[in-house]
Amino acid sequence: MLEIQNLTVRFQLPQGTITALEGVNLTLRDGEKLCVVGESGSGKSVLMLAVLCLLPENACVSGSILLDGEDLLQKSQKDLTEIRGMKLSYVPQGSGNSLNPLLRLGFQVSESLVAHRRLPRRGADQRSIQLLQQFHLGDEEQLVRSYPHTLSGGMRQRALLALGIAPEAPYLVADEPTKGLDSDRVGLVVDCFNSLEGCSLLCVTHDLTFAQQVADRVAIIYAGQMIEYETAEQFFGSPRHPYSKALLDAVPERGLNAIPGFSPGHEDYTDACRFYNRCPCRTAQCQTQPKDRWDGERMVKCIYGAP
Amino acid sequence: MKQRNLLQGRAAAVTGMVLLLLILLVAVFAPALAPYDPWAMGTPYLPPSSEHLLGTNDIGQDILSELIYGTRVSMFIGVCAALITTIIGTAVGVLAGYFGGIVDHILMAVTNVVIVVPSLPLTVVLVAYLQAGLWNIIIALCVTAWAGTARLIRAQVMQLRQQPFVQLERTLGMGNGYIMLVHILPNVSGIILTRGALSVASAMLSEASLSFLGLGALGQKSWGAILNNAFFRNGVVNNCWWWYYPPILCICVCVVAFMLIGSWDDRRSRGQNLLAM
Amino acid sequence: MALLEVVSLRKTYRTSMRRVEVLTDASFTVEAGETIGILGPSGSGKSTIGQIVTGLIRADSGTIRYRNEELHYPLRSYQRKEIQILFQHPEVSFNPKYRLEQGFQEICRHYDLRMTRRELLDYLADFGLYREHLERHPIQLSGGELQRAMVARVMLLDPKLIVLDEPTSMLDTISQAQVLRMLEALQRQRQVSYLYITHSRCLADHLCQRIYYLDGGQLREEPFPAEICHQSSQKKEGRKFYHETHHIIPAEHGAAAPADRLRRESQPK
Repeated sequence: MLEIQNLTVRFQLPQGTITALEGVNLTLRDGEKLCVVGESGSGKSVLMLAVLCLLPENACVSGSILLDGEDLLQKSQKDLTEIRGMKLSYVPQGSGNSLNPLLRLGFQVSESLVAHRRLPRRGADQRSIQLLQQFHLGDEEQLVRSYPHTLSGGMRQRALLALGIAPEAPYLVADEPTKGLDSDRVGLVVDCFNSLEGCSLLCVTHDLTFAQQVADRVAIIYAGQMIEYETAEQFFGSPRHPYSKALLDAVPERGLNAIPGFSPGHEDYTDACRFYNRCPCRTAQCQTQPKDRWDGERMVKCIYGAP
Repeated sequence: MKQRNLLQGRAAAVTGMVLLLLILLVAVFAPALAPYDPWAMGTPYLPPSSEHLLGTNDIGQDILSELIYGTRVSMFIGVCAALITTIIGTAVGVLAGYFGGIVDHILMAVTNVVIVVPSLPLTVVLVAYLQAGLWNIIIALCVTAWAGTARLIRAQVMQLRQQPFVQLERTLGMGNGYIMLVHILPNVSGIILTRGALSVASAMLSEASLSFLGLGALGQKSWGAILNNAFFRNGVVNNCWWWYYPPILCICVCVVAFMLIGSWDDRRSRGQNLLAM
Repeated sequence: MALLEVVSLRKTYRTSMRRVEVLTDASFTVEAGETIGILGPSGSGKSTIGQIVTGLIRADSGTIRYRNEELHYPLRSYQRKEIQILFQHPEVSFNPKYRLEQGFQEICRHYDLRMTRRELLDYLADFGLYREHLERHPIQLSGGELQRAMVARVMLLDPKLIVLDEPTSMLDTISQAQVLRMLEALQRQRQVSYLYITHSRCLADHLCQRIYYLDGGQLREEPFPAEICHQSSQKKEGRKFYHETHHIIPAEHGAAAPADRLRRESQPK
């Protein structure tokens, strides 16, 4: 189980201190798929990097991140390297330069096996082929010998997923796996994520269509705060936070309705609810920050989202 | 706070700059620092003593004073050659990379020819034909040195010109010259500065080699020239270590200083981009 | 008279290894004030059409007429000013070395637009951009902010035709809706035409009046409106954001069986 308790991340920047993430509590159960959804700049990537303990040096992290009861924030770099290889695995963004252009795909997919499981190089290629076959990339024997630039965007994302599951870590952290892909390719990536068994997934995304098809649970991040934490079924059926509703209304298939206004900049945080300026149902009560209202495993940070 | 961020991970480059500053101070205040006139003759082959800290040479000139004055010559040649080299290299690289096509073909053909020509022999031949003056040395040093810079910058510019922001400048109606100067150049400034610093180092080494071979600027006491004297005027035979080690050390320190500066890392302070994710 | 008339455009990319014919015979027209969609799978050459129309690359053959005058590569004078493009990657659409403000000042200088800082800020407020944004470098801004800034920058030139080359595929859902709705509003205000290049039929249905499908280097006009994105009609009935029950997103991606799709993807291109 991965438990994040009261996680706050601040950055020391030349122009001052900035709060990127504030008081986030969430739990990822074994075998569960959790999608963290938010706009760019909301802090969802910061959450992901915090879990991976890969934040830059100027970040001050407080709270705790318990992986099977052990606090990752208290670990030494050496232990973390071990944990990242064996227990916690990362699936990078396919649209970026996540694959080394100078190394063969097979080498990169099984690299973690060689490093952490002491698999001999020769056996590793065989394993790479198996892993790629799992995601139906086609002609895998040829593929492990080819270089990343020969792959299309959708293939690259699936190869990265193969790379992520190679060490058979029980926890998988994925970063925007559908960014820049067209809908056919998104479908392929969805199928691959759904075919994962027995591993817990923490997936950062802004693609609600993708989240709906993959997630068991959804956490919505807005302006550095988690504002709703909900089962996927509940969230896509009847979201409770006004922002969540606006988010779903913006999905092209649901009308492409843009909510007026923009999320506040990091300098503009006030005592009011962060969504105050854009919220259609705001009242005087919203001038103070609402509390996290927990109802068992669900949470909403809004006075209206009564359980 | 700001200062610390700026210098983080750049200790090497800062060390280089401090070294360079010291060297520059020595060059500027040479007359005040040198204990003797470097041309004045006295007792030959004196070992280091309190009077002559680094001893004297075969005609009794004070070696410390020679070194201090030599800083001026060596630095002047190094910096001028590097400046010219970098300007030519940048111009060729940017033009070839930005325009591509026939311009690129021609410029790169020239560059490739220059790269395969063995540079030191060519320089030697050039210096031998030209008169051995200060500027002729500088010109000879520049003839081949720009090619590496041009190749590097061309590669970078070719990538840059594909970037949307450059394409957008074109659709916004900006002229090619403007785009190259205002949008391309600042984005290769890191390479230009790094290559520039390294060019100074290599120009100083080449100059030392030329002077050592006796092809240096006539009548100028550069470090290479002192070394040449030490070797060909019985310094080594007479085991006058104070004569040939110090110039070698000076050249090394100077080259290292410029190389360290060349390691300057142009990254923005990390963490800022996280806010936009 | 059509604003833009493109007749049998042809373009082949040649590398030392092979040649790829992306456009064989592409023809279409754009009327003033309308949005034309160009759909097609990744790598089909959609972007090439946009770049040829914008004068960024040269076509092998074919004619393009803009306001009944032929376009020649490279574009000059009023054509250069009136035909603009927005790219897919807002994060590299601004020079990383300059603050956002300098990107705007540059245009004001070049086209001699007399705009005080106050006027510029007023103008940008419509795009949701404020002084703090202007003072930042592109790396410190989100994709949505940058793309809105890009729209604002391009609109300074008062263009008549803008090529939208997948302008929202790197943006989050809300930014996507904001940018596209903003473009719609600008179209109503300024009578600008869009050539909308996208891979999403649903988005094209929202924005476009006519849709072309690029297939095998040729464009064919698609029947419109399509059935796929049926819920979009709801907005025309004046649907309110917050007080309506939400439906599960229709299973657009689930239409084909997974195995089918996998096979399609793995086929050599």
